[in-house]
Amino acid sequence: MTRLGISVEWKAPPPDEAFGPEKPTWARLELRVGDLVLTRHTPDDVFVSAGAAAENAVEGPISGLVEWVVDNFAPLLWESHVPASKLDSSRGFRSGLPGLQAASNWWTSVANGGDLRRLAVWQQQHTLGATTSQLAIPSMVFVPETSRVGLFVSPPPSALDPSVRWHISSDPTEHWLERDDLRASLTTFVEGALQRASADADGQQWANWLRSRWEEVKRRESSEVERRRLRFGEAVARLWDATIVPLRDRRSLVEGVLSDVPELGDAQLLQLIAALAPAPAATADATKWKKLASNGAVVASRPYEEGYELARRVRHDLGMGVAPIERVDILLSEQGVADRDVDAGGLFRSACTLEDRSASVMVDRSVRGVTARRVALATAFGRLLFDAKGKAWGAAFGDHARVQETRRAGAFAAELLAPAEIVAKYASDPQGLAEDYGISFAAAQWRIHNAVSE
Amino acid sequence: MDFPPVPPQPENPAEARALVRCKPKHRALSATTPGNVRSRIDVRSRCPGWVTENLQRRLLEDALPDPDAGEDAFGRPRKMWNAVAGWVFVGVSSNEQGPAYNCYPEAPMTALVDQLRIREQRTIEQLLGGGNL
Repeated sequence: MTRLGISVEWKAPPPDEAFGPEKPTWARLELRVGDLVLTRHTPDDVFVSAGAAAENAVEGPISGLVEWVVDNFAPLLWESHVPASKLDSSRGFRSGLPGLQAASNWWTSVANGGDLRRLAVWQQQHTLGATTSQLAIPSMVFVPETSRVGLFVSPPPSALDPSVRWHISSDPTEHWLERDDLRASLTTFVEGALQRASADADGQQWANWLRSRWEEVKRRESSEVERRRLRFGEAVARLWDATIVPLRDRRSLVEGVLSDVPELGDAQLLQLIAALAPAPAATADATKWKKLASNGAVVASRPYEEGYELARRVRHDLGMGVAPIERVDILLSEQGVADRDVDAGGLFRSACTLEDRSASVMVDRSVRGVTARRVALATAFGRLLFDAKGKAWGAAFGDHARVQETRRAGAFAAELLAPAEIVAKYASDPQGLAEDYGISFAAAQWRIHNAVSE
Repeated sequence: MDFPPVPPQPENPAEARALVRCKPKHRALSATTPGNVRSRIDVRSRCPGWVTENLQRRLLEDALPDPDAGEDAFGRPRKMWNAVAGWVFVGVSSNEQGPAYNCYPEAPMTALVDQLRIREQRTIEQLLGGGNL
């Protein structure tokens, strides 16, 4: 995990540039994540004489940024649902999360964007400084998940004519932050600005107004009820006491799956709980799969590498070599994992649960086709091997699932179904790979692409 | 295309004459523009050169208050939105005693996105004509 560093150096504003609270909150602002300086730029102004030097900090009023943090403190720390697909499974689980580029193009490039209004409001609440500050900062989108907050960084749209040229990558980068660390960094940032402004005649009224909002926001953010509402949505929060609490020991199982599906309505929640009803164990040895999971820790720098590595190990431990897997469901059954089809209304492609030592994988009836079902089963199996723990645990695979866990499980499935060792032999024959190894043509193309580029 | 009707003018003349700041140093400058030193604000967006003071005024008068933004420290709308000629603009209250808004191009990250989508298709002449909002 990395930390978001926010460095503020207060400065006197240039004449006639700052108004109201902008005057006492004029500063040089540097944003860092780990060792990466997000605000590193070169000024791009027609009046800059030859050879402008790169700088790490941007300069201007930060009162607008402070207001944005106060307005959106709770959503950026807890609101997990994204009104669009989080990952693009057809492109190797690359992030599909929209930033300022997508927003400036009316989100036309966003897959499964659905309700435009909802997407626009979500974007404003999760993109640092959006619509409250003109200060030059990159597109920084916060996406909370169960135990951490993802930060997705990209350059903002050049079409808006910024006065800086960014030094960050033109491809989006992704960083994972500890929620408590992020809360602390943002709190220090807000408190520092309020203290500075309240000591200045131009900022006092603004500081008093914003402080009362800030105190209320902090109170709400610390509320379990509010956190639950932001994590799981209005309907689930409203029905929590009536439908989730009575599940008792199964509660953590359902919560896990809820963390991997889109925001639900009342009927969808009930349908999901019904789909996750306990099923009989597959075989007498319902814990055989655990040996595959526990044969030494997987050490890799990135989630997809972890997925590849575990799949290679599973193939090795089961003596499978590079042979195609004829039936994924039989493989699971032999490892003590039950599988079944369920009607979850398309909320996920597959889910996996662990309950009283019995593991099961379920595929939603919306998954059509043999190859799609094989991938859904293999991905859920990957989640089970990597993440299952405790007496009752659940997770799901779909467009709204947790990012790193899905990438890892998706890579596991890809390597399990079509090992890299054999993919190289099909470099110019994706159709042959698809037919021989029971994966889709698109998946075969992507597998070949990855094998060549790695 | 028919555009939504013009919103009624505020009763308080002071509100109607809120300052609009499209900070002058960020506009495209010509050879006849009075000399300016380089602005020291690093900004994400700058207004295009055709945004005249008259157009700024009209954009604010015609703007839609953001329903989710609430009020500023003085009880005025915190954010106002408008769009014209393919551009979307936001006016953000600068929280001063007198009404004043910093106006700059922005992506349409607001519940008003659908209305802005319609408005951005207007021409400048249609907006300045005043009868079609």
